[in-house]
Amino acid sequence: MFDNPMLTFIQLLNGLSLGMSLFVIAAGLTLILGVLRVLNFAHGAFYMLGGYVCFSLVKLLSGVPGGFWLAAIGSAIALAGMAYLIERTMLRHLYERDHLYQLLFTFALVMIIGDLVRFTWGTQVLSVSLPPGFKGAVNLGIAYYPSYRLFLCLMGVIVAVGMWYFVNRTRAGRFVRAARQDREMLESLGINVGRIYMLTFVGGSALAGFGGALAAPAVALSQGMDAEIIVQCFIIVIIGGLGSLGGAFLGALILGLLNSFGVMLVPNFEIVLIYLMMVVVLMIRPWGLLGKPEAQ
Amino acid sequence: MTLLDVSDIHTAYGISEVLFGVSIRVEDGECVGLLGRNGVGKSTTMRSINGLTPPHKGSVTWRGSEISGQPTYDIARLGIGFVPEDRRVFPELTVWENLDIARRSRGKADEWDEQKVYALFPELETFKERKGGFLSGGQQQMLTIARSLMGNPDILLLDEPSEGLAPLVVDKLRDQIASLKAQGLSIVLAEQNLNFVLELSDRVYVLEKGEVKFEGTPAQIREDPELIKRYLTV
Repeated sequence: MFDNPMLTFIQLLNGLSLGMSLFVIAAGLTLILGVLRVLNFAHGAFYMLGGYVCFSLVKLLSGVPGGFWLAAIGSAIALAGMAYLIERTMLRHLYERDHLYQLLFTFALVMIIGDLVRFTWGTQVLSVSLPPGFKGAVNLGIAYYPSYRLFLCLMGVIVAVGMWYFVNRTRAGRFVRAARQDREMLESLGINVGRIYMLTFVGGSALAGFGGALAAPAVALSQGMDAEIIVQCFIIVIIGGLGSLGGAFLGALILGLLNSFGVMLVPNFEIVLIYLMMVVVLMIRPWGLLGKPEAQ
Repeated sequence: MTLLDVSDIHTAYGISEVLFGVSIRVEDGECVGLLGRNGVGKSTTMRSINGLTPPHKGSVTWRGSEISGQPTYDIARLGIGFVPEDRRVFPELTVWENLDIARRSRGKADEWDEQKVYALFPELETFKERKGGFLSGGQQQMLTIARSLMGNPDILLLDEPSEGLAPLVVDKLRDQIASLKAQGLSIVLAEQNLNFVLELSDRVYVLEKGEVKFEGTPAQIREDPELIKRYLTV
């Protein structure tokens, strides 16, 4: 078990890189949930679409230096554009409705995007090759580790710091926090809250697309990857606390590490561990580790 | 000049009708009181003016143009500040952040900024790093007023500012509102605290069951115990 420091170290990095790539996606989900109060079932589908769009853009840009990175940014922009259309034409009419309508709507999006992906890219498993410069492994002293996975860890931290700074230290971020607390009051101060909702949805969805693009070289692109990721993201958001960015970061770390060390220590029960974790959190702190109890 | 003219508005929440043809008028620089018991439509009148609960009949004009039906944020940008009841500060934002998000220049000669609102409400400067949710009731009330001032409004709709505050705090608040009025700000003041309104207002409307039952000066109300008994005592 832990008597092999190299294996332990590698599992630690595996857990971190899994957690950090999940964080990029869960961050968008929790942001949208916190501000719009909409649980976006389609967030995983946006992630999947981001991966597939990246695949096509990489093909399109083959030979262009930095093609993969342009494709990743392109995926984020494409998902932002799609989210803009969805929000303006449909979703915004549902904010005042019962949560059930929002669930049904986002579930419908899951179906539509799933079929769209099947029609456009077919059902075979696709893969995106690692970007140049990240094909090898890095010597970390006691072990070699794939450099792209290290990059994913770093990207998670960059997204976390960037979002923390945006939400807590910028004026736009103050509007986002205020919109989360009291929509009517913010509106009465002359702020177009509908626009803040739209931008939050667009930004969160762009993160899902970006996360999908970054994951594309590390995972196989396939039908069903959306369902897998949305379940994990929901668990992260529940463990961390609905709408809490810090909570999503913590939840993603816990899920990643539980997954990698679970495989090592109790390989037969690894899949159950995260659910157990969620149950324990729900029993002790139903509002999540860093969330706040809903004031009624 | 008539700043705000509310004419025969009918407002409902869903199917329950709350206002049955309310008309009020505010001249530039005037403080107008809305009196009446709980639930007679004072808050709804204010929400009808600023668009949170738009009237389904009647008109609201601001400096002569119709504003009813416009989105709340556009109405606010015209210079209509709203200070709702229950002191809705943003509890997770600090005092300074609460003020900062409301900052809006309207191209006036002498505009509000942090320093000016701190001068009017010195306590807020002491607690500027504190989260809104951790302030006392009186401080929260001052913060909601200060926050509206940051948008440089021409009129303030103040809904029950004295509610739930200690008498000493109420006295202080009255002086602060009086000083705003002296600076030329127009005010609509909805209150159940009779003396508070009568001391500050130039004219007063008394509401009952969603209708205006009386319009006059504070002196007329003071001299009419029958009116006070009928519409204002609990």
